[in-house]
Formats: sequence, structure tokens, C-alpha cells
Amino acid sequence: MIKGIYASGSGMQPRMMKLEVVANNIANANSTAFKKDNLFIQVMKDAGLTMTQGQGELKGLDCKEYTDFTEGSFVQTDNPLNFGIQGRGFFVVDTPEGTRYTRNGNFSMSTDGTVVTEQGYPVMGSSGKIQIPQPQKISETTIAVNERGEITMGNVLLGKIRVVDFEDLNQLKKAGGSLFETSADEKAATVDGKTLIVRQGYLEESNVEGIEEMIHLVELTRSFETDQRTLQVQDTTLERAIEVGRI
Amino acid sequence: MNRALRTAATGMLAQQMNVDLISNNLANVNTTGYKKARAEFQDLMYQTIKASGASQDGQTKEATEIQIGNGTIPAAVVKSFGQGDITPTNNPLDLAVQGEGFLQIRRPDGTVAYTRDGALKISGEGQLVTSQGYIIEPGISFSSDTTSISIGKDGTIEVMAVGQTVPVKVGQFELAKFVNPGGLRAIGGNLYIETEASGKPILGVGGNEGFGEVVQGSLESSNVDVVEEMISMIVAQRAYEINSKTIRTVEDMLTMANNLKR
Repeated sequence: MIKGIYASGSGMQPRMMKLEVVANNIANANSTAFKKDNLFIQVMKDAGLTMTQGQGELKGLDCKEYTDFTEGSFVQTDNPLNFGIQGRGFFVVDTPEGTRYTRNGNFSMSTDGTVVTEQGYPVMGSSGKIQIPQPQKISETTIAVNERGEITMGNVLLGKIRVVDFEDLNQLKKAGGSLFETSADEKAATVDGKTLIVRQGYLEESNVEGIEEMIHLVELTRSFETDQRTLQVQDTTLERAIEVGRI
Repeated sequence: MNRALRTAATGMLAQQMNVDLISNNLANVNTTGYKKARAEFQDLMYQTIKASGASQDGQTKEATEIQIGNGTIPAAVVKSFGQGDITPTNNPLDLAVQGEGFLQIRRPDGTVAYTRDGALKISGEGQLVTSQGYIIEPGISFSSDTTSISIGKDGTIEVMAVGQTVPVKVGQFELAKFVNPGGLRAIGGNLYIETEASGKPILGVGGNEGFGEVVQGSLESSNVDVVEEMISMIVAQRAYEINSKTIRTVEDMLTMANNLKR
């Protein structure tokens, strides 16, 4: 009976954690290029076993987090320094903490002509930072970027935006500010020019779906409620058992 | 648990700011030379609840870890300096810039501000000023016997005096442009001032290297697109609403947890 109370209680804890994940998704419903997370709650196979062996620790449920890298929809901004990547791939950003990856292509030009992100970190090209020569002489509107990420002004090729892809997207960790980091060595292979499509003047929207998150909220409340009721029923039953023993 | 509440609150605050910007855009839908602003949001830092590594069954390695985010934060407010429609007014003192350049205004404290609003007036002293009465660079005065004023594409100002047949050049407008106009700071009154982000102004005359051309007898309308703003408003309102549902859910679940012990 007590075991049952633990089981119900351990069902409630991961749902609170999942609610935090859902809350973060919802809060970022409008964040550029945000990728939603999901928390899977699974029953441990040996949960019953470890408990009878008296190891003390409750392992009723296990949580696994998964970031959904589904492409968000593209919104046209008409800003020549806004880019969206159609298909897989990430822009490479040089931050003081190391290399980071992002799908947020909201770039601008710093006063010395370097292409930078919203936070001011330089965006990497195929050979180092992307530097536009003589920024005073040109206007943003004359910068053209083709689908392969090549930056041209008139007929002059100024550089190529670097886009990388990862074989296993699960190794990417979120670093905040729409950036991702990887602990692994950069084995990132540059995406082949044939498959890569960079869209100039577009930004990728968050891939959070309102309906899906609402369903998560309803499901969480209800499953939380189920566990709570089950726990209460068991509590009542225990109470009755105690009353039986009373003379 | 409180984290989910705070996360939802950051979402609501962000949408509040979004609506603030949208309402300012809509309020300025008829403001001469107004440039629309758009909010950009990013996710906040993450807390790692469980690191990757050994799994609980001791047999396999867990590839993923559990990271829980703390919500959203406004990352930037981006001003879009796209061209507004050029509307003819037939007033010889109305100027529009077709292109990227800004007109330069001398503020009373001596500093220079930049504007796209070329609705000029002649002050009582005969000086060419903006609607607020600020002098437009280069300070130009007209004598009382001026009959007509013509301004060329390159900003040349020529006047015709009473009894004369040949127009006389009295000055020329110099346009300013910026490497990163998005970095300019709006100070109200259709004026912008330079910042570190925008860079120093690059001066030039109309018709040169992307400075744009000065169009006399026209004004630049606001570049706010009402349909686009309405769509953004719907998105912002719904996003606000769904964040409030998160708070409601947290509250419901906390109540249930509290009711465990009767």
C-alpha cells in the first residue's frame, strides 16, 4: 500500500518537470528560430525490482528530453541581412565562450563591416569572419546572397556564409539566445552546396505549435490529477485499515 | 514549479512588449517618414537538471540530457528602414528622400539629428526649419523678396527673387547615411541620433552612391503595413493568452498537490 503511494507520488514529480519544459516552449512561441523541447516520461523496467530489493531509491519513472529540430515556418522581413536555412544546417557563430551554432539568421553589419548576430558575435564564413570591405561605401541593399550562401556585391564575391550540419542532432545542447553548443569536437561536416538553401530576407519562426502545447497542458493537468486521486484513494484505504485495527 | 510560473511570466512580458511596439507602429501609421519597429525574441539560459552520461539502468549511456529553459527575453528591437511610399503634396517645401539618406537637423543644443521627414517650413526670420522649428543643415535663409524655391535631386536649392529671371543657388542639402541604420536611436519628433552601433554618418550629396535622391513637393509616408501589424497583433495576443494558460495549469497542479494532505 505504501509502495502504491510512492508510485503515485513519483508520477507527479516528472509531470511538474514536464510542465516547466512546456512553459518554456510556450514562452518562446515567438522567439526567432527557437526549437521546442519535449520530455518523455517512461516507466523503468526494473522499478519494482529495485524497490523490493530495498535499495531505497525510488526509480518509478525516468525522464528523457528531446529537442525537436523540425523546421519552423519562414517569415519574410525584406532585410538583406536576414537569412533562413531551408532544410538542415546551422550558422556558425564565434562567441567568447567558443563556437556556437544557430539557425537564427538575424544578422547585421557592425561599423567595421563585420557580419554579426543580434548579440554582436561575428558570423563565420567559409574562411573566418565575414568582413565586408569599405562598409562606408556600400549600402546594405546592394548585398546579395544566393542559395549557396555566397555573398556578392555587384559581380564581386565577398565570401561565403558557413553552414554546418550534424549527423546526430541530439548532441547539441541549448546555450540560450537561440544558440546551440556541442561538447564533441567539431566534426561538423560542411553541408554540400547542392542540398543547402540559404534564403535571404527571411527569418525562421519558432517551431512551437500552440495547439500541441495546449494538449500537453491538458494532458499534464489530467495525469497529475489522476495520480493525485489515486494517492488520495490509497490514503483513505489506509485510514480505513487503521480504523479496523482500533477497538 | 515556481520556475514554470516565472517562465510563463517572461513569455507574457515579452508579448506585452510586442504589443507595445505594434501599437506604436499602428499609432504612427500616418506619421511622415516613420519607420516601423519589430521585436526579436530569444530563449533565456538553460539549467541542466540531468547531465548526459551513465543511465539509471547502468547498462547504456544516455545520449541526451535534461535541460530546462527559463523562458524568453526580448533580444532586439529592429527598426526597418525600408522605403515608405512617396506621396506628392505639391508643396515646394516638402522633401522626400528616395533612397537611404537622411536629412540633417541642427538641434537647439548644437548637436545634429537625422530625419526622413522633410516637411520644411520657413520661420519668421526667413530660415528653413522643420515643423518643430529646428534648423535644417546647412542653415539657409531666404530673403523676403523670394518668389519661388526649387530643389534639385542632388539637394541643390535655387531661389528666384522678385524681378529676376535667372534662379540663384543659395545652398545644397547634404545627406547622411549609416553603415547600420538599424543602430540609430529614435528620439521622437521623427528624429534619430547616431550611436556606437549605427556608426559615424557618411556624408554625401543626393544621387551619389546610394544616398538617394531628394524629391521636391513630396513627403515619405510611414512604412507601416497595417495588415502585417494586425497579423502580428493576433499572434501576440494568442501567445499572451497561451502563456496565461500555463500559469493557470501550474496553479491547478499546485492546488492539487496541496490537497494531497486533507
